[in-house]
Amino acid sequence: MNGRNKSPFEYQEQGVNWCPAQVDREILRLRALPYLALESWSITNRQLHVIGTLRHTQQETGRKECLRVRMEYPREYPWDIPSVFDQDKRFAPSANGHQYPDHKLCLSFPLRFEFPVGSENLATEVLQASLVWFDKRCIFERLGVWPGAAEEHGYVRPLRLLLREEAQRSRSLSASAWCEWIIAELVYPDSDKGCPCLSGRPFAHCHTQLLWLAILYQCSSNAMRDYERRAARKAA
Amino acid sequence: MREWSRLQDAGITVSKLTREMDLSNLSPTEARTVHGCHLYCHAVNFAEALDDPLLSRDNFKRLHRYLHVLRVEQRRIIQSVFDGDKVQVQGPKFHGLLYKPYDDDTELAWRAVLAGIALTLTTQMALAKVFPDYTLLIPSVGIALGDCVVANIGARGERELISVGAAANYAAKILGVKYGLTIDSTLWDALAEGRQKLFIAKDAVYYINWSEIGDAEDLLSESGFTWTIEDSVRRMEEVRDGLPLDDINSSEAQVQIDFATLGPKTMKVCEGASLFVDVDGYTNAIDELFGDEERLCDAVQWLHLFRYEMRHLTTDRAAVPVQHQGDRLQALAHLPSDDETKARRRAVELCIDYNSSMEDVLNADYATLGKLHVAIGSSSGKSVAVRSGVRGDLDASCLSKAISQAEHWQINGVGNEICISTKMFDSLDDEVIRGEFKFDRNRGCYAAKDLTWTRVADLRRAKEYESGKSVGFNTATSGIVFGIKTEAEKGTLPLRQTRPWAIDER
Repeated sequence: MNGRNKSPFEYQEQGVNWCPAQVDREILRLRALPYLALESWSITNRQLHVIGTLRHTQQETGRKECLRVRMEYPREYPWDIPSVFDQDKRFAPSANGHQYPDHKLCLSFPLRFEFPVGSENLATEVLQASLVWFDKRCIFERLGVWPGAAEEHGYVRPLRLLLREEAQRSRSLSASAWCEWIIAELVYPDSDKGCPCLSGRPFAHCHTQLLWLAILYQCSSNAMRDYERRAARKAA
Repeated sequence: MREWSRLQDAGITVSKLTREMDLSNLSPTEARTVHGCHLYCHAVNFAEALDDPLLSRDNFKRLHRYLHVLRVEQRRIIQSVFDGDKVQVQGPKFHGLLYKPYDDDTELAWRAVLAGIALTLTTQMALAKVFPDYTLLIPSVGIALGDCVVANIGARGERELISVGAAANYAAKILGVKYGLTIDSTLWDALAEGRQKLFIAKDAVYYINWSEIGDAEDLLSESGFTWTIEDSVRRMEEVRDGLPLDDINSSEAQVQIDFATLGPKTMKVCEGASLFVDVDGYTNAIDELFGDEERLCDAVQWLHLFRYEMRHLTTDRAAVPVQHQGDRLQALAHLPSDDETKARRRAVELCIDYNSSMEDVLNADYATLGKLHVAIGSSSGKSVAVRSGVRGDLDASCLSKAISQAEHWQINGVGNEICISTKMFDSLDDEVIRGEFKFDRNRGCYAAKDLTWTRVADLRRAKEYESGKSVGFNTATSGIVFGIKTEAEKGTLPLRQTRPWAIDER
């Protein structure tokens, strides 16, 4: 296949997301990173997989730390975030150690939108986040406590936190009170009613983000409750 | 790494001490396994001597001469009268080793008991006649029979013997009874039946019953040893007269003490911290290896590496390695001489250096004997640095109350633990390091477990992550500093860390 002469669109038509030029560009970008020693790359199942070693030196002790990682680019890259895995299974997966059972690193709560989705630098930022995760995980391994602030585990609890933060950001006491009521009573917000910030405007046209988060929170907590009920019934 | 390779290339050998050999010409690459009696003679009331106003006058000149005279005589008794060898003088303690006659434990054990009696009487009676005005030193002798490894670790052709083995340790541990001569059960078992009656059993050790001994001089002469108290008095007077007080130059140490320049006529006094770092478990490891020559060589090689590493750590912090005592190092941190607080702080940092090196370097890369840990004790106070003995065989030592305290904490400490005095704790200004030390009521010191620089760095970074400050670390290849910026720095959203991995262009 004369890959060099085809445009990325042609590749996509054929079901291949990564054309050679794109891969070359991405690999060049990764090779330029000072904290990553790139080992190999491959295209598996239309996804780009990259294996390399993250390295850094502790400033105070001069201690060198290395972690072999595998980064899997999603098909929708850069519109979806790549996943990073502990390639050598150096760390035991645990919730407190912020690592999924399949050795994937838990880098960020997706709804925070911390990564610049759509940007060319998305993979670089994910690797930088992995480097920070690695530093924190090393501290966690030695001290037994995850350093610094961390998201709560699961999906519902961080979402609840996000909801509260959004209500705080609105700087409206009534919105904060409304938010607590929504959390306590588990009711679906009504987008047709007025905004809880008491601006007089419809909710859907005022604090949209708050409304969206509240709906998402109710959906996910209901789903979680159903799941727990089913699990309890199964156990019984 | 280089030192380990060098030691491997040098080819350290360990062989059994036989009739054709002795311990006088051991090269640094040779070590001997010796079956013999370890004999410790200690001055129990040494702290009182330090407090004696007469002995402490003129920068402790009299105390130095007092101990010097005693040490020379103790050495002579062990070497010339009982055909043994002096291993080391460790401050107020004298460590001797008797290994002749070979392959006759009964005779060897009796010889060691007689040597113990002679050393006790020398300190108790002869020394009192030579120095009637000074505080009388109260002797205590401990003797144990067993195997040990003797090596010469002296640099530049100097003779500096160390011995490692359970017997050497045990002999030092059973010291402490005033005017007492204590022996271990192995030695008691080796004694002839009639001589066993001279001892009273108590708590798994045996104490001499002086009333059964009668005239000690007669007992010695009956056994073929020519030693009398008068003989010792005469020799000690000769040594005393050969070292007039006016000839002793004693001064405050303003720069780093160089023990090579010290001698019977030169001594230094300084305010500083004394440190003891001891490998916990090394003696047990050695004891299990007797009979396996190859692994014993590895163990001796490891000891040389430990000695090299600890010595370099000490000098890197401008401290002075005083003496290697088996698997233990004694050091003195007295600089800067004009800032005691800084000197104490430096000593604590040195303690952390020792522990870090053991945990993160020696255990990580050179665990030939399995994972070993160090017990560290440190205390500060006025110390006297001296070197005494005979020409060509001078023993460096430091004298102070702080030393006894530091030694006590080290002995009663466990591996991977640092014990420091309250004064030293108070001098600490780093909150992270201070937070790691907890006061131990039973021992009267501040103790920290598992305190290494890696832990300190981890705690500092964890604190920075906690407070949301920028955390920096180098990448291995380029040395570019990455900072971790958090939203908290900007004063919003304390929990949310938006793009905390963003590169800080510092």
